Amino acid sequence: MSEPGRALSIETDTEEGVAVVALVGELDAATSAELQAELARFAEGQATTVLVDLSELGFIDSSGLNALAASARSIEASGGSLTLAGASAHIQQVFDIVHLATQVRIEPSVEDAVRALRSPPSDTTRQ
Amino acid sequence: MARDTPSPPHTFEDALDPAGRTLRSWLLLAVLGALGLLLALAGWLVWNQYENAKRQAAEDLRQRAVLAATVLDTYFTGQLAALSAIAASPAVVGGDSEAMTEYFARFPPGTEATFSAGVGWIDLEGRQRATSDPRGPSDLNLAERSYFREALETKKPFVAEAIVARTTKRRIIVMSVPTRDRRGRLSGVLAGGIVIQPSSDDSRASELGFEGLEFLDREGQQLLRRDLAPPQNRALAARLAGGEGVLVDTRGLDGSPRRVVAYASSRVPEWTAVLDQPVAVAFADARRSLFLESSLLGGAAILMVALVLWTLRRVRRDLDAGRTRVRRWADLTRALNEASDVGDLTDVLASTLAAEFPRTSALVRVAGADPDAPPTVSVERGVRSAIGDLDGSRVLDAADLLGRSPRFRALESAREVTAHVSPADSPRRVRSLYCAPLFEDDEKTAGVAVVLSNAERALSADDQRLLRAFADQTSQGIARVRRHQQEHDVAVLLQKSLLPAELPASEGLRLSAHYRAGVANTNVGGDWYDAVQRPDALVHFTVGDVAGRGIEAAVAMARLRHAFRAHALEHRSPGAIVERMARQVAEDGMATMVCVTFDQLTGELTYASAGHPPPLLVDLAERSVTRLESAGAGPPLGWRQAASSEDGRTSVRKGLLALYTDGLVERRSSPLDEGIARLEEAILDSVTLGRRGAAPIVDRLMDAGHDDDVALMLVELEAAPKSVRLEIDADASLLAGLRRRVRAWLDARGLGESDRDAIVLALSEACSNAIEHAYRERPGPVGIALEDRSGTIRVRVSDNGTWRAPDEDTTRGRGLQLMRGLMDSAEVTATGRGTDVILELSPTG
Repeated sequence: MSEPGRALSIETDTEEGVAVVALVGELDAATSAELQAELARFAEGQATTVLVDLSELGFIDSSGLNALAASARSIEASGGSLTLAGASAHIQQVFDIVHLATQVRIEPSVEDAVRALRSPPSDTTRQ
Repeated sequence: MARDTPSPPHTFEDALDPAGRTLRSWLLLAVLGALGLLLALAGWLVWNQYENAKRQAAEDLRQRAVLAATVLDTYFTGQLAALSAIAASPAVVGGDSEAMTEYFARFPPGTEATFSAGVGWIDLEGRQRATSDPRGPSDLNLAERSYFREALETKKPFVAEAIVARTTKRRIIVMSVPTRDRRGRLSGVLAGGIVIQPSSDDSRASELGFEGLEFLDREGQQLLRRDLAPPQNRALAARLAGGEGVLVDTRGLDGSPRRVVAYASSRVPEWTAVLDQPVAVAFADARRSLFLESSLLGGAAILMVALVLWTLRRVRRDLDAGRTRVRRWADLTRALNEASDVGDLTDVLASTLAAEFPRTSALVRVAGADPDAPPTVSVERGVRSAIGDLDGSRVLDAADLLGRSPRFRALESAREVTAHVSPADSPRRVRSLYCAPLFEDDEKTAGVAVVLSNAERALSADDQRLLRAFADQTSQGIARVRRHQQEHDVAVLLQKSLLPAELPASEGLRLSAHYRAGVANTNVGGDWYDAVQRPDALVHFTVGDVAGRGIEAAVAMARLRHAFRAHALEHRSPGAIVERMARQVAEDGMATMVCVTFDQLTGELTYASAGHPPPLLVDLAERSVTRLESAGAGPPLGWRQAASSEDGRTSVRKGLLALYTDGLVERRSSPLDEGIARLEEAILDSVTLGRRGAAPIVDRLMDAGHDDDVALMLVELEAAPKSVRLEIDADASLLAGLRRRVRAWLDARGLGESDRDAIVLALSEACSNAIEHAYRERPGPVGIALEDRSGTIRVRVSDNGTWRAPDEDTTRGRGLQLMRGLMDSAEVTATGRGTDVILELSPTG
């Protein structure tokens, strides 16, 4: 009934060249535009390695997926990269249904993904 | 029809005259006082007379004593004259002993003689020289004898003290005179003696009033005693000597008490005559008359007192009867004023009549307010009445017939009764029948009060006046009750017209509300209740109470209720509603209200109160009652302080919610808390008995004749019912809340986490589609229907917008892809009026 203060909160923490964007809450039609705007910063200027931490995300719908896919495209176009990590089983299922992995790099563990991204670039995409 | 003119009203004062009674009792007191005075006066007179009689008796006695003394004087004067005559005889003058002896022989001693002890002459030497004693002169020298000495010394006759003769033991009184020779020289003393005869007839003396006679000689000897002993009471003897008078209530000569002593002295023998009588004897007559008179007076007094007591008792009985009558009148008046319907009135009058006239039976019949309504009949049998069984329809018919006449009737014999009431209609043995009409206004008869008895002339004229007065008093009551009833009916109708005719009903929600107007006051109260089901599956319930009564309160109530309906659709939070309602209440007005909001999907209850008693929530599983009061309670509406918008929260799966106004729980005699506890008990009992509805609970808690309005709304709540329909506005920001609530519904329906999340996502997608695409140009509602079909969850999302083919927009294609990927089936149906999306999922084992 009464709404939580904000459906989604976005926390960005840049460290050792990797921008970790943690999403807390729900990502839907009302909030995905906000996320897209936040991620758009990384598509401008120099190439950025972006990791989106989904471990605190409770919900994602098609608009959220669209926002993530669109952001990944534009960041990659500017020479950076966007990786999703820490999705719950349900969200992973959602990713699977829409074959998101074909458009965005998805890692199961946030820690592993961060470690891999900080090490010099390699071809390692999956562990 | 002149004889059928209505009888003039009778006032109770006609039948009862307390002022007259008071006057009468005062009069009685005055009479009593006068009688007492008369009695006292008579007593005083009697006593006075007694005292007079006593004085008279004492005086009589004194005179008798004087008489005795006079007789004594006369006797001794005669005796001394006789002795002097002897002394003057030639024999004595001659001094010749022999001649004297011869002469003295004429006076021989003897009882009949003048000198019963004889006479003798004594010469100057004291020697007796001649005597009438045949034995001859004594040899004794008599010179020392008082009669000899005194006669020679005083040369006058002398009566000596009594002596007792040594030989004969006779009492003898000697008197003496001096004798002279031819030349006039003293020659000797002539002595004569008399013997005192023993008293022969005391009874005679007593008859003559000389009882207790005694003579005391100069030596104080009692001459009438054989031994001449002086009296024991010497002091009295000394006091009496030589005097005259009477002593009342003194000690007698022999020292005995309570005597009357009269005395008088005689000059010649210097003796004192004494009458010494007991008081009882002396005052016998006085006492006898005193006794007689006081007996008479006492008799009269007893008679009088008896008369007065009897009168007093009678008066008291009258007064008691009067007081009972006054009390009964007051009771009747009060009961009539308190009566709320005609049945109360007839009951009151019948029982009052039966109590007032215990030898009769009373029947009171009042016709219904309209011709179709049945009459109201009350019957009461007096404790000493022989007439029973008045309930029979025949008697009622007779009463109906009699009741049409506006005239008072008194049928006082069996003949009269049968003449007016056909024998078949009349109960047997009725020998008198009184019939007082009851009016509902000045002209129209409303019914009749009938008093029946098996005795002829059972009611006195006073009683009949009282009966008419009672009937008239009741007529006023009937008029009042009829008027009141009409006003009350109108008021209740008005009140009910202002309350919601129908309450929302949907699955998992069952409402029952009961409003009851106060009886004593015909004014409309300000209680209201309402429930609003919002499109988003939230239901707001409210109960409130506007202070005051009458049209103003009703108007305020109606305004608040309509405001509530508006705010209820606008706001989801009960606190927000209450806060806005507070602005609605005028500065000078005051109202309390409570609002409880139920989320049908989640079972969440939020509530806010403005000075209202707490709603009760019964958990049907736990059988426990919670008072929704700790949070969300603010001051009444209309207070300067702003109403609180803070919501209290709880949740329920399956429960019963009770909202009520204070009339249901407030009693003058007990604290509010007890009233609420009683309500809780009543609700739990009704749950146990499986009863539904608010009315029985109101019936149970409210006594007849309550004067406050009561509203009670009961809501059976079931969270997460099998099917729910709701609508949300086409606003993406509402989706997160919707998802949370649907998640709760699915949890309650027992779905596993992944199925739940799948359904929530599919639903959210369908809604997003409707918001983003169908309502792109103009906003509209998104309808959602959730249904649990034996485990298979079916979700339908509909909009009224325009459908766009998915291929026009890739993002939307992804939504559809998701729905299809997550659900067993996802059907999209576009019609001219909008789009329906139907999603179905059977949970994975």
